[in-house]
Amino acid sequence: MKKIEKLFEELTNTQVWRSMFRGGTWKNNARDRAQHILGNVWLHLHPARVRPRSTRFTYTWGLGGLSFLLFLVLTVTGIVLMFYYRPTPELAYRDMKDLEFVVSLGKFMRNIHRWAAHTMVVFVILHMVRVFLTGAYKTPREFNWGIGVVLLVLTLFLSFTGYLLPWDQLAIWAVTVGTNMASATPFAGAEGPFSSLLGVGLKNDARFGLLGGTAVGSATLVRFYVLHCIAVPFLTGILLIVHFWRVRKDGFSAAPYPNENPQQKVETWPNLVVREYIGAIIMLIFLVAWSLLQNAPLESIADPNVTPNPSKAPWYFLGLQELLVYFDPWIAGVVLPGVITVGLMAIPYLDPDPTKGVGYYSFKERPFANIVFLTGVFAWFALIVVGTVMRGPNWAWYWPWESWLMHKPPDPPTHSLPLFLGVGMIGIYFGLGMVLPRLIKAQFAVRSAIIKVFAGSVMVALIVGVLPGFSFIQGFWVAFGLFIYLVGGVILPTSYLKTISNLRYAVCMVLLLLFIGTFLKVALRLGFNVKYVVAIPQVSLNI
Amino acid sequence: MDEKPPLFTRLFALRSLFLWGNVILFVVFGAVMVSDQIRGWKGYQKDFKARELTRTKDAIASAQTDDDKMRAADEYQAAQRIPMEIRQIVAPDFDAVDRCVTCHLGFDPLGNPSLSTEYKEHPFKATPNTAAQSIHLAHNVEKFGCTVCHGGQGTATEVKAAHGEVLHWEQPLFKGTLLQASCAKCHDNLADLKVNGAVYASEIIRGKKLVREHGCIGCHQIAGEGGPISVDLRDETSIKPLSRIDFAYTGLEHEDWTLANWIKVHFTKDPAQLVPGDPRGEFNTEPIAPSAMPPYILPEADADALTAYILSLNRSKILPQYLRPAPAAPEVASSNPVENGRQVYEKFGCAACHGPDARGGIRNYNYQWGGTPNLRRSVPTFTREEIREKINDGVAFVARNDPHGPNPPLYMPAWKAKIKGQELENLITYLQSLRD
Repeated sequence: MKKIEKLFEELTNTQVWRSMFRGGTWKNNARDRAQHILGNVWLHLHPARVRPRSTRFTYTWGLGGLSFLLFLVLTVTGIVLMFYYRPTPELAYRDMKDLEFVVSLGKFMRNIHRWAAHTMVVFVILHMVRVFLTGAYKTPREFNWGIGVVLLVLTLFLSFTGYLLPWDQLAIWAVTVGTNMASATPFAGAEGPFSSLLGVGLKNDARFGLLGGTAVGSATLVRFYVLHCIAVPFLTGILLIVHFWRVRKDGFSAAPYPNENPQQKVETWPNLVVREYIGAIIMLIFLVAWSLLQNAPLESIADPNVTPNPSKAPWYFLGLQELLVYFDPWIAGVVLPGVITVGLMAIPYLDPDPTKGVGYYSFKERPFANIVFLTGVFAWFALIVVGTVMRGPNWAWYWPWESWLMHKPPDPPTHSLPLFLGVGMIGIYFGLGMVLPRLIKAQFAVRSAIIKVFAGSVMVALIVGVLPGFSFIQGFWVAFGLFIYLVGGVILPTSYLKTISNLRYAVCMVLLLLFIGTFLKVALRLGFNVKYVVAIPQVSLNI
Repeated sequence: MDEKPPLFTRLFALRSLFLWGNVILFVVFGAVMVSDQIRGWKGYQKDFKARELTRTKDAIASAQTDDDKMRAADEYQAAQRIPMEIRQIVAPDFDAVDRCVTCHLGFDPLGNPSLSTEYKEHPFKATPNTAAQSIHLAHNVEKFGCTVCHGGQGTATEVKAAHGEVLHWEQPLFKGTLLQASCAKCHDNLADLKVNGAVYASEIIRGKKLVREHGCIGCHQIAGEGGPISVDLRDETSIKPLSRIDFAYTGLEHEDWTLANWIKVHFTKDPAQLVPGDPRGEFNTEPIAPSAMPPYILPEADADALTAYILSLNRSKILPQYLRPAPAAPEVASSNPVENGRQVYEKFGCAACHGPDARGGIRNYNYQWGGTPNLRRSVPTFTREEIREKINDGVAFVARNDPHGPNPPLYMPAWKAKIKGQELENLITYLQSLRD
């Protein structure tokens, strides 16, 4: 042992070593350890000393760092794969086969690239959830939260553009489903509302721009290849630099507790670095083992004439695809994701109290924010599970244990509401919904109010259920709508949005009512077979 | 006194996590490297080399003359130099990269120009009989590759994947009679293709004959020739993608879900059960009748011949210079109007619906009068002019038994574009000559 240490010492004192690593002879004192962080281009993203809390694994779960690790894994394996890949319809699929059957480690590289991509999407979302729950987006970190949201969108887009490259049936149909959403963009998509007014058609709309044609073809493949390998990684890399820089400059989010000495810190090297290293090792073991045990999917070669039934988007978009059952594509595919993105970025600017609950998990101090955010996250994943597991041919409902060979009767016929009724309903919902929480001046206990509303909703369900011409299922949906509206749209904002300015209140309520409205529309569709609340076919406007 | 901390704490101490994390990562990555190196084809190549060495060594030992000994020694040295490598035949004309010869080493055209080996078992055997040998020599392996005739997945180097017997590969190996379908992809002159004096693709010719006998083209078209009641056997059936096939009622195991099997069960089972439609309108807005195809329940060999023939209609991916067209066999039209009328009746597949003897009675789901009409009884009730009109314009709408049920699938198509002139007149004469 002594000999090895001596050898190491001699090695670190050679001129070559000294020229590579800054600092004098390593004496393993505090100054050396700080110098090690500051003098190294990669490590200096850390401060030299951090609060003890931020080294605790259960504070960050290492999610941000692991997301970056996954980005690096994807970059490295992606570069290796690029050596063997030609982005043309004639060759792309054959190159997949070559990777699988003849290229050394080709199958492994493809597997790990695929599984790391899925894992990255999950980890970036979880990272966002963690940052939200610890209040780490609050002043002065609002901007970095916004950058993070953009990075989440870019992560999804990176994964989505990569989906097309194997050029199998899975690829072109998932991308067809995904890009069809672009044609539903208001004004800019051939099938979106108001586009006919602007002369936007199949050959000049948003989807055409994305695909380089009217259907997924060789032009799309090159476009997605360049986006996947160069354009989006470039953009992501730039934003990652900003993101890390601001994490560092805004101060690590594990802010001191009110009664804590802000100067009480531990050295980053080795306390934090070793934990990061161990997290990375565990992630790599997980990825390598997964890639060893399971192969990335590869279906038959892409055939634009053979549509699989069902055709499914990549899993992280299946929640939105599931919403297509309840909404027109322009809402499910464009407006909702747009509102979600903008809404997420707006969160830090709408905060009623930017000093509350920063740097630690706190449900009690921020019940409103936590309830709304976690409901959203839960709904997003619940819809994904439904779209992934429960939907079979013709998008009919199949339980996981049911064979897709079994035929299912079609859904009952749907109808749209008369125009005046639909417009009236939406007008009242938003008009009244916006002002109601500010009109109620009474003070009440939130918990008991929610319990009362719940009991009332159960009563309503029973009453509607026994009414002639209604069923208990319809009663359930009425009560469901009533409950989430009264709790999310009245009780919570009345109690928790008292103190914020009018502008913030208005933005908050619009987002909240849109969020609740999504569920109300689902209830209308499932309980009452309402296809559209408002339908104006002249301008393709269906709500 | 120092007490040892509990096992959990020790295991999850940073030091041990660091150590074991590195060790485990090293091990799993090692496993990846090893599994990448262990490939099925390497085993076959080692085996082949060992066999070659033994064979040539024995040849040296048993050599009688010096010349023989020298030759055997050369062969032995050649066997020693057999490299471990992936071999492939690139056949650009057929868009194929066939790595079959990586394991099927007997077919290596460079090492083995005669394409003949003494090995009796796959993957080393080549030319199971002289017939196969002459066919292989006529189709230069280096130019044609393997998969254009044999099917399978040429790029694959694992047994099941290479034989196409995996999910998401639609063309498994052609086996038995089905292999003859490949000849017909290029050769129209099947009857001239003889091996040892016998016609090789005889089952395709027989399949074609069976199609005519059963009157398949009364309902099905073949490249546009025939009735419009069901799908075109060349343009739709022979190239049908698996995802458009509903195997639910075939009783086939999932691994047997192939196009060939789908076609074959139509002849060995009742098609009305394979394609039950939706007669009560449960799953569709309109009720749909079950398949109208009669249950022929043919013997296995006939079903295979028909399947091979239908598969042989697939003409995709063949460059024109490889096609070997032949004039269609001249039709021998009888000069006797009644006899010629009978020939016309057979040629246009009237028998499919009206029966080979024109007695009708073929089932037609939800048809008011049950089976198809017996022409021996109905024809005498019409004038010649009326019969001509019926053949010309058809009977597009047939009366339903249950008014809420589906349209009966069988109806009389309009034949005026196909049956005309003297053929039409002779057909009418033939029909009028029939009596019950």
